[in-house]
Formats: sequence, structure tokens, C-alpha cells
Amino acid sequence: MAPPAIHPIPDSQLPWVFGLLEMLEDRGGREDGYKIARDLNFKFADLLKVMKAAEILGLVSTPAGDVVLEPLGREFLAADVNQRKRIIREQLRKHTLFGYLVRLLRAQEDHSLNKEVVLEHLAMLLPDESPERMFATVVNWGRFAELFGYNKDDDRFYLDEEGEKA
Amino acid sequence: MNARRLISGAVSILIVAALLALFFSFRAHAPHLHGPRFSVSVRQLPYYAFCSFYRMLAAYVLAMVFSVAYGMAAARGRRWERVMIPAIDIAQSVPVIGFFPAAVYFFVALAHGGRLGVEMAAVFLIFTSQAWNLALGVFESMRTIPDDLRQALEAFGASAWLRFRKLSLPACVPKLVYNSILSWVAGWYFLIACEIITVGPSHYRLPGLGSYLMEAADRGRSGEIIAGLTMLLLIIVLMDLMVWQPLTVWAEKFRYEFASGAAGEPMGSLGMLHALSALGPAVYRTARFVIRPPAALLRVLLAGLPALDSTTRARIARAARATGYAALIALWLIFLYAIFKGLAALAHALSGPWPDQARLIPAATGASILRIVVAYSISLGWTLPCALAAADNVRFRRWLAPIAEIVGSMPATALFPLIVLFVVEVTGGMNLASILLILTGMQWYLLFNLLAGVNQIPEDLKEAAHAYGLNRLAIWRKLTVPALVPSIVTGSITAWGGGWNALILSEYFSYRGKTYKVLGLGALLDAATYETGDSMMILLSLLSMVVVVVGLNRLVWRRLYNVATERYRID
Amino acid sequence: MALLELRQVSKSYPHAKGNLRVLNEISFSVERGEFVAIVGPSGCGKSTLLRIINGIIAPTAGQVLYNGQQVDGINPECAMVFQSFALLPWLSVKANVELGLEARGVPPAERERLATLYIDKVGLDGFEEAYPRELSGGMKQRVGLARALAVEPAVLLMDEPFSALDALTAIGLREELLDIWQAPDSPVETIIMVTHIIEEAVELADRILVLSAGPGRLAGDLRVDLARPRDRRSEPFNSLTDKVFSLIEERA
Repeated sequence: MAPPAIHPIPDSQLPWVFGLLEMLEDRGGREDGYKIARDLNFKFADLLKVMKAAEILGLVSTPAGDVVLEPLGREFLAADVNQRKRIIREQLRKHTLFGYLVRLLRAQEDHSLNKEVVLEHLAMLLPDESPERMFATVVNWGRFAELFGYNKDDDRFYLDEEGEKA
Repeated sequence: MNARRLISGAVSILIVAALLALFFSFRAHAPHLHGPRFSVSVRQLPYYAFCSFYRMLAAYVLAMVFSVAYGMAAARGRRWERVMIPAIDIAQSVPVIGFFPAAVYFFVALAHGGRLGVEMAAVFLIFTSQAWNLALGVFESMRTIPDDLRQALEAFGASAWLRFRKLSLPACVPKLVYNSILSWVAGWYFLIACEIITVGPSHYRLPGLGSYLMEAADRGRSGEIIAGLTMLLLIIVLMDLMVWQPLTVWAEKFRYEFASGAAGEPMGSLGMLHALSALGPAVYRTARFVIRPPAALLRVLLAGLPALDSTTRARIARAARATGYAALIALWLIFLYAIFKGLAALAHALSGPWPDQARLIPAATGASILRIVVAYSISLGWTLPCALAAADNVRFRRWLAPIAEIVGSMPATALFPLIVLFVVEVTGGMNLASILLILTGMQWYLLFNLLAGVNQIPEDLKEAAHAYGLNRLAIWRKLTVPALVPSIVTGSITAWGGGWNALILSEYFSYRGKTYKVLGLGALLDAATYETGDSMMILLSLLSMVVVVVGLNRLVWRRLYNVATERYRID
Repeated sequence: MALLELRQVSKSYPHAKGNLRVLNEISFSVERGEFVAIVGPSGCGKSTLLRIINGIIAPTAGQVLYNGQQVDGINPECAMVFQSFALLPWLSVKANVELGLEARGVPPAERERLATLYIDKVGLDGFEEAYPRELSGGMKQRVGLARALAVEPAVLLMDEPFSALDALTAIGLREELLDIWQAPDSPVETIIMVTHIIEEAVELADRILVLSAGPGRLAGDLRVDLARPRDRRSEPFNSLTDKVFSLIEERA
């Protein structure tokens, strides 16, 4: 059976996504992407990644180059830190890549893998992306959402059990 | 050259001379050593290897302790730095091997007996070959700690002990690991040399790999020589795989982010057999796995200790500081006393009639310098083209680097017996042999430095040169060679240092009952040590060597170095 | 009684040609619960001033009074957040946060509790075992913030905390800083922040102290009475910004 269609995530950090949401709220919920980039002195290509990330997480939509705050985005802004994590975690679980990784980890006896193995999977699933960068982004988002954990010293990429139950 | 430099140069020579004389004054207690019957059987090899290894280890541990203490002290402030760092400079410019017989006399007298004294002398010598390098590494690490980190710890009220544990010591790890690798290479070199040298009237040799090789050569047993060399190579490779590679991986953790990769790595990891370097992380993980239970136990034990309240801790801190100062003062007093006694001994030694042989010193010095120059030219003659080729051809570089590492990690002194065996048997000539021996002590330093310099030439400069359509010769002339000038200079400085040491070993040796020597400073020194036992002569030849080395360092190398780093730096 | 008071604080450094005066007779006081911003051009000594308040640097003249008592040396009621984050690269996030507590002699179990609590508060739950190099700038500063908060200081000192971050990250962090400060269970009541970004000062602070350069002296002391959250595009906001600007220019 062919592996399920896995989509990559843009190599962008979550704090930028949150900053984007704050900005949108300030500007009434909708703004031209290009203008945002210009006002922040951001390279448009980089802002595009942030927009894409926010869109994947269901917090904004991007019709025709604009960025629009979605209801989930507003809910996110009003929430406290722990609720925000929960929102992100729910959204990530629905994402193909994260879902795949969750299933993969669950299939292991101790719910963990070492980095090399994960990199191999990433290379296989997303041949057009750099496995190292994908891994770094996955770890970053996963840690925030308390979905995954990664201990560099022990070389363990693992399922965050507490997050899982919440 | 201004007055200040002249005075400091003279002072350094004087200090070294005094110490030398002091050591020599113990000659009256010349060791009556009777070595065991030397067996060259291969079955004894592990024992000899073990002897050599524990000497290295003892010296290294001492050197580490010393360098951490010294480096941190020197980093405490400008006034400390101004005294302590030049002191290392002086220490580094003394040819270590020349000291060995003197050190033997001193330690044997100290230890009231034979073998222990000689062992201590060997350990002391290896220590001196490692300590300065390590201490400088600690010093540099301390000075490059970002101010903010220091202030942060201070702002939170961290005690000196906490700052040492969490900031100072970890900050030193990368440089210490890197310098340790280099120090061990140097250490092996001198250890083997120490074991090759004979001391005392009965020509005693310390049992170890060096003496094994020399004895085997003496008896013409080339098979045993190969076995000995293989054993040495094995130890070096094992150390690299099981110690240096994992340590280098671990040391990465302690780098500041902005300094990733630049400073400490000459050619990837200074370890051998690049292909096997992938094993490094694996060994590292195994090591961590093994260390975990005892480390956890230790932590539990320490946590179980009653916590000290702040007044007790303050009292302990004060006591520690007081002891530190007391120790420092004591060391200074001992040092001054030694200098004083040494100067007296010096005066006494030089007051007697000068031996006839002293007249040979100028000519001998000239001959020795000539020999080094020849060896240096040959070294440069092949290493520079290699470097140029490596600069242009990435594949060549990738192939050359591991080989250079392997061959360079082998102490050249271990090859002396083989070379002697070969050259004397085959050609019967001595000058060639000595030049070859000096060559082995010089060329690797040049090669390493040049290769490191090649690696640092920025790619975009090379690309730009190609884009401008410059042909190869023009690129070499305008880009590669100028870019390599700092490396050539630093490589030459170290190479000449190595050359002087090799000189002492190579201008005079006994082989198969015959003595071979040439006209040279090293030969005069050795002849005086082994044949006539004339202290005055020994002292004079050593002193001449020190004067020449210090003089060359200051007049030639220091100037060249300043010019090179100023004009030829790539920024 | 004012929480913190500076009386005629001056600082000079010995120089090749005499003394370089960095701060000249600065006097002001800070009340409990205030958010004070110190703005000024580069070289006006505002970072030095902050370190004098903390106690890392001693003033050449003048006094620093805390709760009416003169402070000599480090003031344990203050904790500082640095522009360059000042994290130890070889320690994990948790170990870095615990470091401040360890320095103060807090026992291990309590350290663990406090560190976990404040790592959570700055939103880094899940990152305890990460190392600084795995973190973005904003996250690193959060670690610095957690470390400062963990010792539960009465006064939080911030030295250009968001200057090294990109605009998008800074926006989020400023919001979070306000949330943390205004939270009912926050240990920190008073914040003194040094910044060269005037808009940042106007957005966050209750009071703005303007320092002028060469040597640094107090050029102005403005109250910011706008309700939070403040709208950057509103008229009062902009006029305040202009006022601060002119104060700096005037004495330049």
C-alpha cells in the first residue's frame, strides 16, 4: 500500500505565528500579506512561510494574498497559555505528518525513537524537503504543543504522554 | 629593538640558565643505575607499552591540574596576565630534550635512588611539553567568556565555586579537549625521546616503547622494530577512537553558538582515520550509558550530604582563598630560592677554566643552524606544493588530511631507530641521517598548519578568482600563497621548535657500540653528557642553544608573526 | 516610601587621559507596582544605570536606596533579563532557569518546583530539556525571563530585552510580558526596563525616564496615563512618542 499523502510543514517558528495573529487583531482581523511584510521589515518569502504555518494550524485563512483571522485564531488569542497549547495540539493531531509520527511512536514499545530513524522516515515521506530542517520544526512545534519531546543527550524522540492524555 | 625587549630577553635567558645550572648542580649525585637486562622479545612488548602509557597519563594529569590553575589565575586580571603569559612564552622556547639529563640528575637526587628519579624526570619532561599549551588554552577560554554570562551569574549572586563549576570550567572544555589532543601528540614525541636517551655512566634507559625500539635497532632486529611501531600505532589509534573522538563530540556541547566550527577544528576532528570518525558518536553514547549508574550514585551521595548554610560556606570560601594565596606565595618563594641558588651555581660553574672544546661552540652552532635550515627547506619544499594542490583540489585534500593525521600522530622520535638502522647500514653517512631525523621532527608541523590554513581560505574568494579567469599560477601567487602566509609563519615557528629538539637527538647517537656524531651544538652537548661528563661544557652548549632559540624567536619569528597577522589576515 | 530611590548617582571610568564620566548625578525614585522605562540614545549609560541598580556595578558617587536602606553590592530583590539572553549553552533550559535559584542557595526540590512553574508561565512547557542552540531568539529570551522570575524578585530589571529579536517575535513577547506582570499571582510588581525603542516604552510603561548622553543625565520624567492595551496608531500614543523624541533631541 502506498504511504498516505503526507504534507510538509513550513520551516517557520510558532512565536512568529502568534505575533502575526496579534498584528492581525490590531488591524481589525484582515490585512494584505505584502503590507505586513513591509511593515515588519520581513522578507516576503519568510512571511509567506509564517502565513502558511498559521493556515495549516487553522488560525488564519489566506484568500488572494490577504491574511484573515479565523474564529479559531480569535479563540487562540483570547486563550491563556495552556489553552493555546491545547488548541495547537488538537490541530497538529489532525495534520498528516504529525498524525503519522504519533502513530509511528505509538507502535514502538517505549513510544520513542532515535533521531536517525525519524530522519529516515522524513526523508522517505518528504523527498523534496531537508530531513534535518523538518525534524527541527517538528520538534519545535511538538514541544510547544506538548505532543512530542526530544532529549538530545539520550537521543530520544518521544511521545509526550501527559500531552497525549490531555 | 627597544630597550624593554632587550631586557626581557636577557632576563628570560638568565632565568633559564639559572634553572639549568641548578639542575646540574645535582650532578654530584650522578645516578648509579643498573638497568635490567633488556629483552627485545615481542612478548615483553605489552609491558613496555604499559610503562610508556602510564608515564604519559601521569604527566597529562599533572599538566591538566597545573594548566587549569595557572590559566585561571592568569585570567584574573591584567597584572596577573602580564607576568604569567610571557612566562609561558619563555618556557615554551626552551628545547625540552636538552633538559632531560639535567632533570634526571635533579630528580634522582630528590628521590634518593635510581629508577624512580629517572621516571620522575621523564614525567616532568612530558609535563613541560604539555602544560604550557594547555594553560594557554585555559587562559584563552577564560578571556573569551562573554561579559553578559559573567554578569548574569554575578547578578544572581553565584558563589565563586558555583561560577567555577558552571561557567569557567565548562567554558574551557572545547579548547582543553583540542589542546589535549595536540599535547598528547607532543607528549608521545618527547616520551619516546626520553626513553631513547641514555643516562648515567652505565647508559641506563627507561623501559618503554622508545627504549624497546632503540634496543631492537641496536641489535638489528627489524622485525621487532616493526612490532614495536605497530604497538605504538595501535595505542594511538585506540586512544583516538575511544577517547579523543567521543571527547570531541562531547566538547561540541560547550561551544558558544557564534563560534561553531571555526576556531577549534583544524581538519574536521583532529583524530585519525576519518572514515572511522562516525564511530565517535557511537562510542560517546556507549560511554554515557556506562557512566550513568555510577554518576547517578555519586549525585545521590552528594545530595545526601548535609547542605551547608551560608555562613559556613563563606568561611570555607575564605579559608580556600587564604590557602590559595599562601600556596602562591610559597611557590613564588621556592621559585626565587631556586633562581638564587641557580645563579650561584651558574656563577660557580662558569668561574672555572673554560674547556678547549668551548672554542668549537660558534662553529658548531653554525653547523647546527645550517642543518636545520636544510631540513626546513626540504620540509617547506614538499609541504607547500602539497598545500597548494590541496587548496585547488578538494578530493586531494580529503584524501590527504586523514593520512597526514595518521602519520602526524605517530611520534617521529619512534622512527628514529628505524631511520638510524636504515641510513647507517645503507649509506654509512651521518650528516644525511641527522638531517633526515631533524626533518621528521619538522615537516608535520608545517603540513598541519598549512592544511589548516588551506581550510580557512574562504570559498568565495576562490570562486571569485576563478570567475575572473586567473590561471592557476596567478591564483597561487595572488591568493593562495598570501592567504597561507600566517600559517606558514606559525608552522615554521613550531617546526623550528621541533627541529631544535630533534637536533639534540640526531647529531649524536650510539649504534651497535659505535658512536656517530657530526659537528654541531647537539653533538657537543651529547658528547659532553655521555663521554666526558664535563658539566661546564654541557652548560655552555645548552646555554648557547637557549640563547640562539630565544634570540631567533624574538628577532625573527615574533616580527614575522606580527607582519603576517597584520598584513595577510583575511577578514 | 518609595521602593527604590537613586540619589545623585554618578559613574566614571578611569581612562587613558583622565576619567570618562558615564552617568552624572542621576536622581529619581520608583514606586512599588510601577512599570518604568528608561530611554535614551546609545552611549547614554542606561545599561550601566540598570547594573548599578542591580548592584553588579558600584556607583562612583551617590546612593542607591531600597526600601529606605542603602544597598551595597548585589540587591537580592532584583533580577535581570539581558539583551543577549546570557544563557549557558551547555545547560538545558531547566538547568539554566534553576541556575539563578541555585546561586541563591535554594535546595534542589524547591528549585525543581519553581523552575517548572515559571517555565510553564513563560510558555516553554515541553522545552525543559532543550538546549539554547535549539531555540529561537524569542524562546531564549523567555528562558532568561523564566530564570529571572524563578527567584521571585520584587523588581524585574530588563536591559533592552527585545532589541535582539525580530519584530514579529517582539510583538508577541511584549504582550506576554504584560500578561505575566498583570497576573494576580505574579511575584514581580515593579519593572524597570531599558530600551532605545521609544514606541516600546510608550506601549508598555507607566512612566518614562529620558536620559540624555554625554554624560548621561536625567532629561525628563513622563507619566503615561493611557489605558492598556494601548493602540499604536492612536493620537495620544503618537503625541507621547513625539514628546519623548523631542526630549532626547533637545539635550543631544
